[in-house]
Amino acid sequence: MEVGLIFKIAAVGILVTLLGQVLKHSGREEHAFLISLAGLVLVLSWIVPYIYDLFQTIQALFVL
Amino acid sequence: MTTVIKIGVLAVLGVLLALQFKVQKPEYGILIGMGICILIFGFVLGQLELVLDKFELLKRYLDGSGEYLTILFKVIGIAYICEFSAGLCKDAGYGAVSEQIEILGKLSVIFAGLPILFAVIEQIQSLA
Repeated sequence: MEVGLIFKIAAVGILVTLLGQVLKHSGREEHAFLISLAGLVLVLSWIVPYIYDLFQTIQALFVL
Repeated sequence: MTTVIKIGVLAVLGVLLALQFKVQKPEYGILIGMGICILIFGFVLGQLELVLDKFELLKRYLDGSGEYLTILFKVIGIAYICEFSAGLCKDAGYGAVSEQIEILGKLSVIFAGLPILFAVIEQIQSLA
């Protein structure tokens, strides 16, 4: 839960975009799509635990 | 005071970073926005602990209304969750979904507040 999370997501985004562009221009459309999908899944695997913790904390704190 | 400034600067920088992805990869922009929301709420949680302690103090003074204070706190929790998810859906461009979440939030708040309404009505009936 620190600022690094945002920079990690940004880094993955930039990497995926670059790779996608390279693959797209070298004629491999489907690889580009797969790369962006993989990047998305990776970032989601980082963010989802945080969201789960967030809602658990809310539930515990506000006695929902 | 400085923490508020820190949080403000963090939010603005994060949004500027997320803007870079608006054109090629909008989903990363939304994910960065979600990350910022979680970070800021992590900070808010720290402050909420203090509010919670004061609430206990308040509950001791108003000895009769302990139950209603918990309802009040529950409503705040519901409102926050619905606001968080509705805001994210609106960011992603899906206004209809965020409207549904807001309606759900309003209904659950009303549902949580019903006991208070019944208490008031019983109070009035006992007087009349």
